[in-house]
Order: sequence, then C-alpha cells, then structure tokens
Amino acid sequence: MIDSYLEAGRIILQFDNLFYAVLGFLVGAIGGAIPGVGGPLVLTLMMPFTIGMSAEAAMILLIGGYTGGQYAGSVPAILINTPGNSSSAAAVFDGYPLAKQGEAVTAISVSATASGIGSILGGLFLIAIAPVLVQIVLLFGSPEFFMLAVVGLAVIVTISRGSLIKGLISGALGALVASIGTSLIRAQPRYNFGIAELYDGINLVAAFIGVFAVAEMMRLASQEGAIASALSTTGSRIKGIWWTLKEWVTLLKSTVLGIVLGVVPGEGGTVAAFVAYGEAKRSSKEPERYGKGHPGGLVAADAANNSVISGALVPTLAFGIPGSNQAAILLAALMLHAVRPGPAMFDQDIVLTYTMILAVIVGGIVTLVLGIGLAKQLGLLSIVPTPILVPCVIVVSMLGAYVVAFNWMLTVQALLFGVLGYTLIRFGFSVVPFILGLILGPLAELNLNRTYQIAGDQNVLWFILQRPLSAIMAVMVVFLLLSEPLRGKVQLSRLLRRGGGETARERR
Amino acid sequence: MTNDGRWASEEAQAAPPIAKQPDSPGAWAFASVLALIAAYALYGSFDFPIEIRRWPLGLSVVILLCVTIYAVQQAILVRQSGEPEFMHPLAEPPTEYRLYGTVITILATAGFVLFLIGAYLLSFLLATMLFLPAYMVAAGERRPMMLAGVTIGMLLAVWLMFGRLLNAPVETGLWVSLDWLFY
Repeated sequence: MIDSYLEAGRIILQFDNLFYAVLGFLVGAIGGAIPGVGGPLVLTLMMPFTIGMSAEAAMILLIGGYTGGQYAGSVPAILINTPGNSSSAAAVFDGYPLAKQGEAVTAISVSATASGIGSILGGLFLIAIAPVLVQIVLLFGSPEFFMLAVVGLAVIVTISRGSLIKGLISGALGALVASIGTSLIRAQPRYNFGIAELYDGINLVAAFIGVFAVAEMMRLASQEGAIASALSTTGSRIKGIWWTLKEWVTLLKSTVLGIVLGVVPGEGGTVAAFVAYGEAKRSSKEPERYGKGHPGGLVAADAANNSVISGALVPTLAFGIPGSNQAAILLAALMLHAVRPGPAMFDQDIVLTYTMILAVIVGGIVTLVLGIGLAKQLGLLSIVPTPILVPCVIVVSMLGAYVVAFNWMLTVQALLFGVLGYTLIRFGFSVVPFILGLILGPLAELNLNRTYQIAGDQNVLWFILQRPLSAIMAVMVVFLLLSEPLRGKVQLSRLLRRGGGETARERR
Repeated sequence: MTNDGRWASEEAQAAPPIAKQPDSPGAWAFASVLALIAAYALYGSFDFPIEIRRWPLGLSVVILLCVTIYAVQQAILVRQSGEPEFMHPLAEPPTEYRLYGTVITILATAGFVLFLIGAYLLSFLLATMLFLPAYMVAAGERRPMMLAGVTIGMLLAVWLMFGRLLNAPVETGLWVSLDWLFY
C-alpha cells in the first residue's frame, strides 16, 4: 500500500500534473463563480479535453475542477446574495451580511480557508479509510452490486427535489435510455431504430453535456441582463484566515458532517452545508448572531460543502455509485479512460485511486492559495451578462460533444439530451435520478443478469434475499421508497386539519 | 430561489408549507409522452431474447405504473383544489417558466439547432462567427466592441483549444473548407 501511495505521490508531484491541478481549479472556480453555470456544467465541458491525457492526469484535472467549483460557488453567494451552485446556498446566510458590513474580501477569505481545510481533512480521511474500504468491497458479489445500484437509485429518487413518483419516472427513464445500443450481455442491438451510430449506445459525455450545459443554457436564455451589476470588494484576507482558525471546532465538526453526508448518493453538498450550518448555530454561544454575519456560519457551510468531495468519492470509487453530480461526471470520465470503478479500483487501478485521493488534498491546498489570492477577481465573474454567456457555452458544448469521437451524432445527442433535460426540469422532474439511471442502469442490468446465472433454477428474488448484505439493502430500498409517501401523508393530513380548522373559525 | 434569482432569507424559508397543487397541463402532456415511450419500449422488448429483455421490460413497466399513479395523484389534487376547504396558497411560477420565457427558450433552442446545422455545413469556425454576434444582438447586446471582442475571442479559443490542441477539424464543413488556416 505504501508503495502505491509513493507512486501516486510521485505522479501528482510531476510538474504537468500540478499544472493540471491548478488549471482544473481555475476553470472550475470560474464556472462555480458564475451563478447559473456552476461546477457540474464546467466539469462536463472539461471532460472532452481529458481524452488525450492519462487517466491519472485526467482525474487530477477534473478533481481540481470539482474543488474549484465547490469553493467558488460561495463567492457570488457572499458578494451578490446568489450562490453559484445549490451546495453553496448556506453560505448566503452569513456571507452576504458580512459583505454588506464591508467585509466582502474577509468573508471570501473565510470561505476559501474553510473550503481548503475541509478538502484537505477530507482527503486525509479517505487515506485513513481506504484499507477498510478494500475489505468491504471484497464482500460484494453480483447480487450485492445489483442491490447496491437499486439502493443508489432509491436514495437519489427519495432525496432529490420534487415528488417521489416523478423521481422514479426520471430514474427509470435514464436507465431505459441507457439500454439503447448493443447489449453488454449479448451482442445484439436494442432500440437503435436502424441508426448505425446508435449501435454503440448513448454516449455519456454527450448526455452529460446535454443535461448539464445545454439544458442550463436553455433555461438561462430566458433571463435578461447580468445577475448582478455592482460588487463590494472591501475587507482583509488575513483577517479572514484568522476568523476561520478561531472557529476550529466548527471547522472540524462541519468537515466530519460533510464527509459522512457526502457518502450518501444524491445532493450531499447542499444537505451537508445546511446540516453543518444548523449544527454550528445550535452549538454556538451566540446563535443570535447567525444569519447576521457570523464567521462560524460561513465556516460551517463551506467546510462541509468541500469535505463532501471526499465523502462522495467513497461510493464512487468503491462501488461505481456516484455520491454527487460531479462524482457522476468523474465516473463517466473514468469510463472514458476505460477504467471501471468498483473492486478493480482497489486492485489493478490502486495507484489511480490513491492519485485521486491525493488530488483532493492538492485541490484543498490550491484552494487555500488561489482561493484567497483571487478573491476579488472571481467576484467579477458574477457580472457576466447572459447574452454573452449563453452562446459561448453553447459553442463550447457542441464542440465538446463533437470531439469525443469526431462524430456529428454526438452533437445531436447532446442537443436532444439538452431538450430532454430542460423539459424534465421545466415540469418538475429532477434530472439527478435521470443521470444516475443512465450510469447505474447498465451496471444494474449486468449484475442482475449475472445473478440470474448464479441463481440457476432458484427464484432470483429469493436468491438475492437469502444473502445477508443483499437482504439488508432490499429492506433499505423498501424503507426509502415508503418513507417519503408516509411523511407526505402525515404533512398533508396536518395541513388539511389546519385548513379545516381555519375554515371552521371563518364560519364562526 | 425567488423570482429575481436571489435566495430567500432564512425567515422566509421557515414559512408554513404550501399545500400541494396539481401540475400544469404541460406536465401532464409530458408524462403522457413518457408513458408512450415506455409503452413503445415495452412492446419492442418482446423482440429481444430473454437475457436482454428483462431489464428494459421491467423499466418500461415501472414507468407505466408510475405514470398511472401520477395520473391518479393529479386527478385527486385537481378535485381537492376545487374544494373550498382546501388551502392552496399557490406560489407564482418562476419568471423563466412563464409563457414569454418559454417562447424565448424555444427561439434560443432553434438558434442552437441552426448553429449546429451551420457547423455541419459551413464548419465550426464560420458557424461560430455567425452565431455568436447574431445571438448576442438578438438577446439585447448592442455594444459593438463587446460583440466584436467576444466573437474574436471565441473564434481564437475554438481554433486554439479545439483545432490545435484536440486536432478537431473546426475549419471544415460539408460545403466550406478553411484548411489554409492551419498552414
């Protein structure tokens, strides 16, 4: 193991790879700092550029982008009260009041320090649990992997925004779309409508570009002007670092919360940031100052938001189940480089796994240095007008889809997925289950088929339930799918009772 | 987010929950389209051998079942929303999803399609040169320096990043070839 870490360390310390880490951070930060663009979109657009790189270099670049995007989302949250991405929403509560008090740069500095330390501690945590993860992964066979894919979908469907039924439709649709093309099990095409280009199936990069970039630009197209017109850029970087270090208990607690909640697939960043913020406020000696510009609130939100990266990498690397949108993109990029996440990541691809873990730590260090250094410059990106942003992103998106295989069909796929993604969002169907369905669909089908083969004459459901790990996961799926409707029913009955009560009072 | 794109304050987020409202007819139509797609996939799956039929068949059934439940759910909500006892403090739909916004989105998407056709026929470089200023002007950008600067900057970026770095034939279309740019 030590040899693998040394090899990974040697790879990451190469000049080229350090350059990719910084470049990735900068590109991710630029995207993250523009509200409406956000980290996943930029990460998707970066993916085609990794084609000529080694898998290690590609991951260093993309993890740099992931770290940059997570951190920079807080910059517009602090400066203009509008987060760059949903996981930075909790930074608004204390970041924006601080900016209004003339401490904009101090607040960005707090955010960068907390984000950087959160990433570094998260990376160290991954190093610590890697040996345990290896042992856990080895317990999984085909039935367990099938159930895990189902659990992944169930978790995402349950916690993603919107109704459970719509989430299920969205997830199943994603998995169904993923079955287009030649089957992995038997070399026979499915649903290709006689189109030769569809024999290879849906291209994940094109699909991601469509759902994340094109769909978002379609939405932004109807917005006029820039998101903000003026910025406050006063305050002190040193004061920001000091304020963060003074809140070290909150910093550590929020980092742990971020890692733990990041492991749960779905929107870990948003949930983790809000939970960490709530906990910081609850345990603070001066909770009344939270929401009015308390550095502790900002430290909690950003440390949790960035340590989520490490948490999200756990299911991504170990089981091929992404812990977040960005982790889903990393997964697609791994597949682009012929690397299949799962047990192999802790066997023949162990150096790549450790390189990715170290890349998170390097990302944290880059956040500390560049995040604090570029505090003012990143803020300026919030004022890019949408009439300029939209066509530029579309040009890069279409070219990005094209260069994956120099195939026009992929640009058409990206556009069609864009329309589908926009329509899903427009009518309240979350795109997160759809994306996860696209990724997990083939994995689930392959393992289901293997389970059928292993089960032989036995009933496959009974065979799955006989295995303790699979049975536990089956119970989890049932619990997850039933918990939401039951909670909704309780809320609705409360609401109706209150409504009925008010109507009765009105009658009196 | 509120209609102007800003995040609601903490107090506003702590407001009492809004009762469920039926979705728009557009959402019903979209769900119907998804049901049709699932029905087609279900029918088509019978052409496949059993090993590769199970999965799409199961998924199609899941979608059809969910759309049916969704339809029942919506019917109940429509019925409840008509009752005087039912509280329905309907929130205003977000600005970008109103009719005007939808029309703009459709027009913008048509622009994206035209860009793609232009790129196929005239090359990415020429299509970018035409699409960028046309889109920006249509979207309300009128500053000549900005229009020229962004267009030239993007042309350079396309040529350098995609043409040079990734060796994409950005100068070649079906009708036009600007090969001389690379020599």
